[in-house]
Amino acid sequence: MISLQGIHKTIIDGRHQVRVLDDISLAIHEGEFVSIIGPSGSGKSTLLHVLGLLDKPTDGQYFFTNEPVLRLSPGRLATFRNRRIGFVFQSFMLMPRMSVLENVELPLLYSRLSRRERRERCIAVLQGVGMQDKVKQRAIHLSGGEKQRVAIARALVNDPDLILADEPTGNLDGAAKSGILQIFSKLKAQGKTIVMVTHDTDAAAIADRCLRIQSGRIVDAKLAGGAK
Amino acid sequence: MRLFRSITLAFHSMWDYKGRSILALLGMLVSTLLLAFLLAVLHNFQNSVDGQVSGFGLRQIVAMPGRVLNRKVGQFDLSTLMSVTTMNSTLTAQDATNVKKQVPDVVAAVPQTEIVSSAHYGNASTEILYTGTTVSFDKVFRLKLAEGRWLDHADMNTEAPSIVLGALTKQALFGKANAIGKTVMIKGVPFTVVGVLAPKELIGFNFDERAYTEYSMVVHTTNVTHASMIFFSVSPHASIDQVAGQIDGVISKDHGRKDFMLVKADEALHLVDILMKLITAVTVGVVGVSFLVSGIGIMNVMLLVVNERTREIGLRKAVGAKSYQILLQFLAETLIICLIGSGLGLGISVGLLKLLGHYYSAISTQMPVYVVQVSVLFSLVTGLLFGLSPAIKAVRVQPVDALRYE
Ligand SMILES: Nc1ncnc2c1ncn2[C@@H]1O[C@H](COP(=O)(O)OP(=O)(O)OP(=O)(O)O)[C@@H](O)[C@H]1O
Ligand SMILES: [Mg+2]
Repeated sequence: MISLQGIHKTIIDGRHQVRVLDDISLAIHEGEFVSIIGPSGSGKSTLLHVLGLLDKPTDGQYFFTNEPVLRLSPGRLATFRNRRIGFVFQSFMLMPRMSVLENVELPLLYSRLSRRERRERCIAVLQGVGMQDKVKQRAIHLSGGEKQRVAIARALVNDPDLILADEPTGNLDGAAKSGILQIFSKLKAQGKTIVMVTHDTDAAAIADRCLRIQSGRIVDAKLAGGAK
Repeated sequence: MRLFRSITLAFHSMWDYKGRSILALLGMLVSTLLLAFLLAVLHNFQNSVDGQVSGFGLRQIVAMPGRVLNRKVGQFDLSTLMSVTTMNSTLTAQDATNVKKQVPDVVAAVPQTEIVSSAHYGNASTEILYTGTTVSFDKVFRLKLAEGRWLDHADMNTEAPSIVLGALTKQALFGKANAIGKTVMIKGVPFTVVGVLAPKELIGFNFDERAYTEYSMVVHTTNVTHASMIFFSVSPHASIDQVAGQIDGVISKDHGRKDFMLVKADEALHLVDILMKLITAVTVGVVGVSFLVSGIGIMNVMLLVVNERTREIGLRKAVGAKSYQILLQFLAETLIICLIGSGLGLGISVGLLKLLGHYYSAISTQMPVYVVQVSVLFSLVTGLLFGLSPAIKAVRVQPVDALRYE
């Protein structure tokens, strides 16, 4: 479903050129669950941003269901992100003053659904992550685990083809963590395509395939798969 | 997008910068207040001028003492007024009679003369303008009587002279009591009151503090020898300019020189018009500066708000907001601040207008619809102009920048 070919990302930071991604090639099949591990600063988030069409690589090609998505105009990119990609950000990225429902609803505001349809979808995904009882609560009053559930619900609300999660268990302790991992197992069972960045071996274990990144390069690919 | 939600969002982000937001709002409020209030007062003033003119008529020519130097042909403007040289009147009742005889298009020629004097009734006395004129005077000014009647031919040249009192004169001497038939003493002469005028307002004229009697009566009882003004009514179909030329010819010939001036009512109105336009222009200028200042204030607040909400903007773009949607969101927020400010300003100006009307009953207290429209338009335009740069700043935020923003 997804194919990256020769992706480079160089960032000019003052006078220095930083090679954040260095010749990354990667194929992900529909329904696959891929985890990415690697030390801090190795470029995991950057790779995920490229996959999520939030960041443009300096070089390389990206095909999403055979579409060369790097050539899309900004407006079409926005629509593409809105319809086909669900992103769980490294730091929850919830709007603290908005309610749980409003946070989850945010992507739907830029789709063409009616108010009622939006409500129904939000309630459904919030049920899926076990947050149906805190719909009206403000995001700022939630615990870390609850925030992450809401952030996942927001990524799922548009029923995306691809789910990208950047360390979804990063700031969580045992119980909260296993709750989140359960959600991802469930998504995998539903046949969703998932890419998850993690530091955590438990988390990496539920994936079909695990990529290791170091200094912007893929250095190791465990289990069978299409990684080069 | 849900309007209500974006309004509450706008409020929330304003709340983070309470001080500045209130200042921005206040700026818009004061600007709108100034604009709406001043325009409404000007509008109402113009209305009352127009109303008064209909109580005098545009087909009037007034002869006055004094001369206008370097007068440009056919023009009557501010510089005309500045170059009037005052001099003692040389106009007489005879001039009026001569013009009436020789210029057929003059349907009435009414001299007026006056002097400040005191009037007595019983123990009451008051300062008045002791005024002499003719029987046609009431028609020239379309006077209305509160009681009794205007002077008639039978009152002229009698041993027991009649008098008509202005509204305030009657009030000062008689209070609420009936004045008709009573005797009032002026300059040692006993006058019989035959009429009382209804109050009348006409800019540049004073009717209420006068007492009117026959012209020659005033000349005989005082040392006044000349008319202060002569009013000429022009017949409906004649050209006012032509008639003015003829009047000019008759009086100049009789006096042997031009020692008076003629003012046409429509020209005087034209002068008022010029003044009004001038005042309106100054008002709009001052108010424009005020809108500029408040616009800059609002722009600063919104730039801060955009900065504060970098994360939110990045998130919205990340989940699918297009640039124009972000632009519209922030423009809308700026416009909301502007509209709230100008709404409050309009409300207060309506209140101020009512208050003003309470003290100066002559000025009507209505707020014309066009003033409301102009005020709202001004604030919307200000909002659009000064909301644009913050909104563009918001559009420039990239999702990744926002995601890495702490
Ligand atoms: N805009 C930027 N300017 C400068 N350096 C950047 C920028 N974006 C990313 N980097 C650098 O790129 C490298 C990779 O960053 P990235 O966030 O992808 O790391 P990561 O693997 O996700 O790390 P972590 O596990 O800590 O989240 C880092 O060294 C970071 O400093
Ligand atoms: Mg990271």
